[in-house]
Amino acid sequence: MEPDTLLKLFARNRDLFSNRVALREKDLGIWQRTTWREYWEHVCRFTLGLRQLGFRKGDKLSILGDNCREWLYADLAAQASSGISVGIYPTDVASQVQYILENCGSRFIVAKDQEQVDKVLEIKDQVPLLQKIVVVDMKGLHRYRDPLLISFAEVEALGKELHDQQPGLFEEMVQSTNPDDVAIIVYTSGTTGKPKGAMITHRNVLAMIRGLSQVLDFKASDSFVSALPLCHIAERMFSLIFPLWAGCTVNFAESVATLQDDLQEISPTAFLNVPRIWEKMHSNVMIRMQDAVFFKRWIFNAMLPVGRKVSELRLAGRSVPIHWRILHALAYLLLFRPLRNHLGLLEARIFVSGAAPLSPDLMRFYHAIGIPIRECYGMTEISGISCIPRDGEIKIGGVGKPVPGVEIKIAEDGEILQRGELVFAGYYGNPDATKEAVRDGWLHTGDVGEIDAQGDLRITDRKKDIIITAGGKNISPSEIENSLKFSPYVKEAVVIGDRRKYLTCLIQLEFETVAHWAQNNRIPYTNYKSLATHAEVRKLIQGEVDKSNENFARVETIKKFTILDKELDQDDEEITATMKVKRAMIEKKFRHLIDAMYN
Amino acid sequence: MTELLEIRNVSLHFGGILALNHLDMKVRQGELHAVIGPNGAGKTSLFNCISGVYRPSDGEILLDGKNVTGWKPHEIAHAGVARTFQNIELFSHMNVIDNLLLGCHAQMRTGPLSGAIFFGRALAEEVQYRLHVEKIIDFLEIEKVRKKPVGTLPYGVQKRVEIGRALAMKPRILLLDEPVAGMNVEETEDIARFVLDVKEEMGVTIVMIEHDMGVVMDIADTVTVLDFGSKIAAGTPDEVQCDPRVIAAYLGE
Repeated sequence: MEPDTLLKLFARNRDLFSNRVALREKDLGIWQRTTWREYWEHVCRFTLGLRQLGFRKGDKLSILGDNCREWLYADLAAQASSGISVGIYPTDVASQVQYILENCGSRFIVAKDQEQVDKVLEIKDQVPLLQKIVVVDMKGLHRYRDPLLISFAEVEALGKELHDQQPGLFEEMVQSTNPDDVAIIVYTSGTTGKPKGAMITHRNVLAMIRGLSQVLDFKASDSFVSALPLCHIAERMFSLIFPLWAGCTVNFAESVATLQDDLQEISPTAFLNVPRIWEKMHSNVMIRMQDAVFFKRWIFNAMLPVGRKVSELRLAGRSVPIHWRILHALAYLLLFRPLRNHLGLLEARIFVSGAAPLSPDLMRFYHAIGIPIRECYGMTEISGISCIPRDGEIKIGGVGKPVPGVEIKIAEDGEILQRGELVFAGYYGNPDATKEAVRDGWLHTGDVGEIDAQGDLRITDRKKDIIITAGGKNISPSEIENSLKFSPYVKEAVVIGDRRKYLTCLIQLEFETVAHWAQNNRIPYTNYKSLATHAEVRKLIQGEVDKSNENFARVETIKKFTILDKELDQDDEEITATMKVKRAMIEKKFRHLIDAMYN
Repeated sequence: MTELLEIRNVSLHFGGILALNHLDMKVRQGELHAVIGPNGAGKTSLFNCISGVYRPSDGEILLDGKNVTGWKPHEIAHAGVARTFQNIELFSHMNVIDNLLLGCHAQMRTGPLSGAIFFGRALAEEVQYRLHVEKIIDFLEIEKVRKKPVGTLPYGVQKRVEIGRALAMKPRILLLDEPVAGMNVEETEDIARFVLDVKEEMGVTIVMIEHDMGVVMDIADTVTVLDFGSKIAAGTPDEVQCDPRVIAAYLGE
């Protein structure tokens, strides 16, 4: 019988791949391996340990912390108990953690380290339901005497006792998992209002696997580096679900700070990231090139256009003439290979960008250096990815065709509607919001887009973000913002202009690169604020805005802009944990700056 | 708790200058003992006496009941006393790992010859200490810089590396000379947390010279106050804080 839950897939992998490496984590400077069999045993012990502590069918286990092996053990353990696992962003502050714990009614939480434990202890009196805090890394907790605390290792030891008494119990629990049970609750990042918990069943996830396996050919020899927060559906797919389907290896970096070095060491074969990180990698390359010796700069400037030309031909589906091929081979040896090696992407063959639109300029840059990013479309409510370009069908600005099993249509007002087995089971404890999102079986995405002649979807923008100027023209702010963010000096741009005469923009500087620029130009500064208010920096950004304006029609150009004198921060509720700006909040908070641009 | 380190009636002269004047001090096993006092009070001289750099003109220093007065610095180090310095004294062109491995040197049993052949016991020992170094790197959260030359690191990180090198000796007593001098608030908090963790998780006894009263009052178990080479007060942070002689020494009469 085909496995119909994630846990049954897991059991299959244990037998199929038993001694192959499933997980690697860099610890004490060495990549420590976990085979599929060991992976299984850890999950078995932790599941039974939780059972000893009173975790039952339908209970929720929250997981709070940076990505690590134990994150996945806990995730699978909750599901193996026919319970639900709920990921919380490690960057969430205590009150946000409290909201999620209360909202989903978790009795158990796994916290990675002291930093996370402190947050939970701070709010434990407000969440009386909470029974145990399982701590992965006990470092620094020597003085803590709270009876709620228990270490991950202790729970596994409890589980081992039970396993010795009833060796068949775990297998039984795994086999009794039901495809219609909710497997995970994923809290949406909440750019407007409080986060909502989207319930995703085993059936949803398996349907997604069935669809995507016809588009992306993942193999057991593939490897990923787990870099984005695991509580996000995209990372959960790459670090948990795809490996359970194809037997790939997942690698965990030593710490957030060492990610770039670890990426180089692992050189993964598939790479998923959000536009923010692709932007960052691009600006790092540009800055390094500015500092490079003359010869290297010359190579870069001479070879990049070769890559651009060849990738343009390939994207257009035309054949590449022989002389361009020879030049391209040279460019590969001199520039693209070392560059990809530096980025840790030499071995990679599948590149995916998701969660937000990627600027076309950025797409062209990466395609030119031999990193063919596919932009995909997806959302938590559709259990991950719903549209992705097939091999050889990548288009700049397009997100491809729906994966098999997903039906798409465009509503009269332009909103994208989706239907299929992938559509989630509803928001936890919020039937009103569910009814709002799923009407007559169609998931209303809140995004506006169109389908072109080849059947590929193009996303225009979020429906509620579309700006209608005082002149009555519809404008998609994210296109303009992405064009601005292509500049290495701009980290965040928020275009404003709804029901106003012209467009303006709030800009946050990319501190590192602007600081670097200031040093090279002998401009004295002390911190972000002093840079943001400097007249020379303003001139620099004006230049970048002018450059970006050339790409747009007159009504779509930015007439005035203001550089924010503080960096946007999740703690100040200006951006979400996934680095998306909360427009409404920003427009309210910086009202005075915005009004000043219209007087 | 028993006394691990005892300073008994120690005096130190430099010609006519009296750096330490009949000083008595007891450091109990497992405590964090702070030594405070104005500039020139003799705090660093005391550390130099303990670690064997200076030989006291008079008096005795007892380590775990054994008289170690006049021992050479390397003998003291072998006996389990490690220290950091007021100005960072690392090998700035070596990377972090090598600096820490150097800290292990005193513990290593194999000689240069077997080290050169690098087989059997020497190899096993190298691996063992390399692991020890990695544990310290993990403890101090300096993974990101483990292969960087120390000279290129920011001041606060260098200070951490220096503490790491002292810990690499697997000390019983750690002497810290102004560990948070010149640091910003965040770096200071980090170091204070590490010092507490060293005490509680590694069970190392710590003697710390520090000017940052906030840190001293927060984390020290016992405080000894020196002025002009003499002890003017000793006790818990609260007791010392209220002592009129201490206030006078710090603020003037």
